[in-house]
Amino acid sequence: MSILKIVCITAHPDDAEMGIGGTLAKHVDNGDDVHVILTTLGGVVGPPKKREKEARLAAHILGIDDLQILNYPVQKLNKPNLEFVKVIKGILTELGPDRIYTHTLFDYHQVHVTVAESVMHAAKEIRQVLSCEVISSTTPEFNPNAFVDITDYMDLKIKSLKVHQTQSNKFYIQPNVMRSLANVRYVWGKVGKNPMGYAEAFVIRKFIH
Amino acid sequence: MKIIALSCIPLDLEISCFGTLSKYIKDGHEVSLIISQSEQIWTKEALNAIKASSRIIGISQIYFVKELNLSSVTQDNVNKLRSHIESLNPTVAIFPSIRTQDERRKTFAKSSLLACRGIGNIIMYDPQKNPNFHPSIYSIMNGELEVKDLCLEKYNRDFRKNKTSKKKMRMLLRSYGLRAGIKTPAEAFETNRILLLNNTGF
Repeated sequence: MSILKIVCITAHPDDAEMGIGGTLAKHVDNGDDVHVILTTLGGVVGPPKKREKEARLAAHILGIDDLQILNYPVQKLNKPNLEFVKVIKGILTELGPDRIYTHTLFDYHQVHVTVAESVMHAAKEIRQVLSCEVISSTTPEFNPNAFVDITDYMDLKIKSLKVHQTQSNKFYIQPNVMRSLANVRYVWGKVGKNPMGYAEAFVIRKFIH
Repeated sequence: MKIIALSCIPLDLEISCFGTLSKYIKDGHEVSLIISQSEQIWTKEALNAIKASSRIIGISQIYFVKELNLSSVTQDNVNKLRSHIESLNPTVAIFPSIRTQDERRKTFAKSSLLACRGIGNIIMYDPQKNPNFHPSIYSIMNGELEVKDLCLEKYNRDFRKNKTSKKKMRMLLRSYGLRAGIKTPAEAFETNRILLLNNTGF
């Protein structure tokens, strides 16, 4: 199988691990070229320096060599703006990915929605774009139609989430929550017949092959 | 990998997914067809035509399911389809979109979806310009257009006149290509579920 160039664009540290952590680890294992773009370091919960350190450690655990932190001012991400679209477009032109993973439009968090909309805008030339779910904020309208079996990568995903110490008091980041969602996605997506199977779920925005 | 394509109306498969099936076969995968055969719809000529067009792209087997009730979804329909599907144990199933506007196709599609319950990759086609059809998967047609033309020629001109022409088919595929933001024609599919990163080409 040919090597895929994968770009994951998410808003905050821990979003990628929550929504796509197992899938990214699986891509790395397949020998794919994986790049993660983190648009902002947040600023509300946890000092940015610490969050950056956590994000880099989590990426290292998943086997990702290239983590780019844009540190784009979060105040400017409350709604899409042309300047941000241009930033994303520049990155996509430079990297030329085969596939992008990003947020869904069905999300309560306005920064996630801005990132999703901006990526869709900037990714007109990209052949495969998939939206992921972030359990803390994705809305019930998220109706997945693509699944990745991450049974062998679930422990790695949990490990990568545990390094986000600044978020450790959040209930949704706890291992049992992560495992139960992934187990439901595995069963729902007809991924396999292992009762302890895990999957991550996506909505296909565009898939050209 | 085993792929099954299901249909209840002649020419639907040739118009909507024979290019993609041809690509699968070229990549070394095994493709089988399951046809819901009603004598009113599938004339002798249509049956001969699908056999001939399948030979062109190298489809290994065609299975005919008789006496499906295309006026409503019944357990009997599902069981009949399921018995064929389970014996083939496919990785990918392709059938009409459940949002199609044609009632026969819709009944067949819903029955197929129920019959394919254990299959991880479900993709759906629509041979008509149906505004409810919202594809997200596109298969680029490079050399496959000529093959699709040859398949269409297996149906005689009178039969095709009421259904489609090569020109209409190419226009449909070009419109899908434009919708996908590419300049080449494409076949388009909706999906109920696909399994990524699982050696299925997705």
